Amino acid sequence: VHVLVLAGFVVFLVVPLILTLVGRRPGASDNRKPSPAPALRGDALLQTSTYQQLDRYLQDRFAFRALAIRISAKLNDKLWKGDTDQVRRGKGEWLYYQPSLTQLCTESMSPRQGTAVLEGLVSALQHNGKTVRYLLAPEKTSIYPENLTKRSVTDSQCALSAREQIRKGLGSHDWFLDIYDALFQLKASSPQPIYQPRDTHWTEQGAGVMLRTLVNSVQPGLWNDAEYENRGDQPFEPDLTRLLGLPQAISTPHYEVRRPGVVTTEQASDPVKGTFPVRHFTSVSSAGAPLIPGETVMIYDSFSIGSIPNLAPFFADITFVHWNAVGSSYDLPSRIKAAGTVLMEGAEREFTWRMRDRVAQTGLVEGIGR
Amino acid sequence: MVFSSVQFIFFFLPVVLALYFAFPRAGRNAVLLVASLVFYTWGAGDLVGLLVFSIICNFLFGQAIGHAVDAERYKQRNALLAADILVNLALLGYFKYANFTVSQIDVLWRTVGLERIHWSSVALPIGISFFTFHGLSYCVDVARGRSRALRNIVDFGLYMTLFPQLVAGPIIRYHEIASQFSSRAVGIADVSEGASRFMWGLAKKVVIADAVAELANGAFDLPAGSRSFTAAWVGVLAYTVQIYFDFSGYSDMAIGLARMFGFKFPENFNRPYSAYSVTDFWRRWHITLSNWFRDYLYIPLGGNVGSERRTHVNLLIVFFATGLWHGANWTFIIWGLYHGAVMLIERSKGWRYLDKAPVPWLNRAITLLLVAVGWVMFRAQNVHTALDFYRAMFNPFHHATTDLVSLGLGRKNLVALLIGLTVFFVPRGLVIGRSLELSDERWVDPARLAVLCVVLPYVAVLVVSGTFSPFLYFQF
Repeated sequence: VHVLVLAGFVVFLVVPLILTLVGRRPGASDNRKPSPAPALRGDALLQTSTYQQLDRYLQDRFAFRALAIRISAKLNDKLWKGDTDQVRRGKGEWLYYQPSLTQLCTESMSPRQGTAVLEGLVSALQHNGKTVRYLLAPEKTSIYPENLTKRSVTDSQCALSAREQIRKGLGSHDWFLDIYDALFQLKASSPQPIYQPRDTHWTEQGAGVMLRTLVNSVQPGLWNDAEYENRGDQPFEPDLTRLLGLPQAISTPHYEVRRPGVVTTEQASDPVKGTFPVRHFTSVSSAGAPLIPGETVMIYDSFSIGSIPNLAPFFADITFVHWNAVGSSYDLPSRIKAAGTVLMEGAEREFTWRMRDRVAQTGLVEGIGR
Repeated sequence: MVFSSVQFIFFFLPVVLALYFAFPRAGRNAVLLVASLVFYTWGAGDLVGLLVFSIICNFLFGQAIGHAVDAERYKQRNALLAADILVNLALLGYFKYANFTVSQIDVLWRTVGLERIHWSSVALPIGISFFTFHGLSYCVDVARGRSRALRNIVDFGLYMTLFPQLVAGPIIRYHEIASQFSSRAVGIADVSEGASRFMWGLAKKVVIADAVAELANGAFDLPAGSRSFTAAWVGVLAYTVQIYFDFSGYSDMAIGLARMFGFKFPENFNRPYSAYSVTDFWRRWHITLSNWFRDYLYIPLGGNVGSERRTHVNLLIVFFATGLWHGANWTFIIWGLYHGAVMLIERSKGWRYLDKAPVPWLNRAITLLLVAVGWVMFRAQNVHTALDFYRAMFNPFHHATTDLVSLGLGRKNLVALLIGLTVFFVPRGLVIGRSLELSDERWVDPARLAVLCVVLPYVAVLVVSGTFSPFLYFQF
């Protein structure tokens, strides 16, 4: 028996080690590049950060990691029905992104301070003659709270109150676009959910509300519902199932803007280290279809990322800059100075974080010039 | 580096075992010493310098004390021992208690209107409480003539740093292990017994302790006033299960690891929640710490030889020190004194012999309750949180804004809690209870192996998948 136990133990320890050493690599479970190896020399050998990086390096390359993550996720999904650090299980098939329940209440900047920062930014932009719009993208927890569990309802109370403060704080400005009512109307009339039950974001049908609101706010009547066509189902990978460790591909209705006579061309993109590239589109109209003239800059996040090709055909010249590129090596102030219109879209949960880290601390207002 | 991590189980341990058995016997202690220093540096970084200083310092004192004992120069021996104790306690005092002491003085200072004390926090070296106690034990044992001083600093360094016990015990008194540095044999049975015990401890830690920790953390992290009666009791039961399975699991892993290298460590737990009294509890809980304090503090203070009053004072001093040893916080001190006070009551009423009482299960239940009540003070961040917790525990009508929903009571942690609680009540005489839970020498046992075969794959999945840290959007 001792020999058997010993043999089992050796296999348990050595097989994964050998497979890892010979280069059997786990899949890209974490949606990121594997951690690099630390430099193991000199002073670095006496720093805990070196060993923390070594931990991550070894963990990321462990041979059976992807398999273990998948088994654990399946057990959690089928047997334990538990939440994870990042995903809260809702009623039925609904999943929610955990930070959306609390994030506004865990930031050092208050909603009131956040709205003041945004007002300062918009004031600077308007002072420089820009047309400005800011659209707050409602979280799934705001539009579909009925599918939250009791625990999540309890935990989200503070964040819901903070969202109300932001909307009230900005509600009096004509540049602020509040789409709660429009989304609730669409929700009431749509047989399908307008937010993905297993993703953080709205469906493309739901995204249509944002597109319509943004476009019409800059040039009223430019949006035509008939031009936003359902082109059939398209494969889609929900982000929350990926966060659970159970990535899945589903089919979801795909919508495209078709503007007769408008030809849109994507120009070369500018890569930005650590985030999405800056994308630049130009459109020409050959059949008298109107376009929003001049140059436009849109600062966006994940709620708009899938809608970029549908927004571009309304603008003669539009540049899409992700919020994470603000304050990076990309020269956003120069780009804004050349633009006549500045659009901003941001998720509710990240409002105060962005106002602090991407606006207040990056000197964006000073860069534009008060 | 914790034992229940991928990097320890699948990288560090197999490499160290391979090197250990690849080397001839004469070099094995050196292999283990280097491995232990790497293990410590992995978690503590440049604070390894403090550990090395402690090794050199205690080794030199041990040599000098040994010479004095051999030459029967007892005054010199006592002076050297006093100096060694002073150095060790100064290290422990500075690195573990200076921040706390300064913060308390600062409170007093500001109360009388003086300026805030400017103080840079001192980093706490991991395991300092353990390696300091090992150093003290060595010099005291040599001074008492109970063991001879080691001539080889590699062997002594290994006693101080041996990685299975370096950061969380068990606390090894030098005389218990002295002979094992020069002569120990490792056979197949040692490695398989050690491996089996290590896996058993790992399962206790990751399957039970980690799962119920979510419940305990949920209950203890609730804001003041929002803890309901039920939430408080679920929380305290969860923590009672967590701390036992976590700590005894860690001890099992440490004892098992040491056994794989041929060392036989003393037991640290013996069904503590089956104790018939709090006095009995301390014979079963963290046994090596109790033994250390008995040998090196309680007995030198006079133990129970003097008057009843003197014995009571000695007990309170020991439990004050026990509390303080666990951490620099009033909560630990109060927890220690609480246990001391209960033991004094048991002594004076004769209740510490309650194992002979007519209704033993009632004594066990009362003891478990007393211990659990003490855990609240031990676990709480501060005394205010503990008092708030007690208010919720002892008032069924306590108004609370949040309840069990906030604890995230899910299937996994509920099952773990029930398994944990069930184990406490498995009768001692039941065969499966004995073979699963009692600390005997036979860890390669059919019942245990059967459980391990079922549980181990799940344990591996939990350990490896615990490193899953996905990003919502691709990190570039």
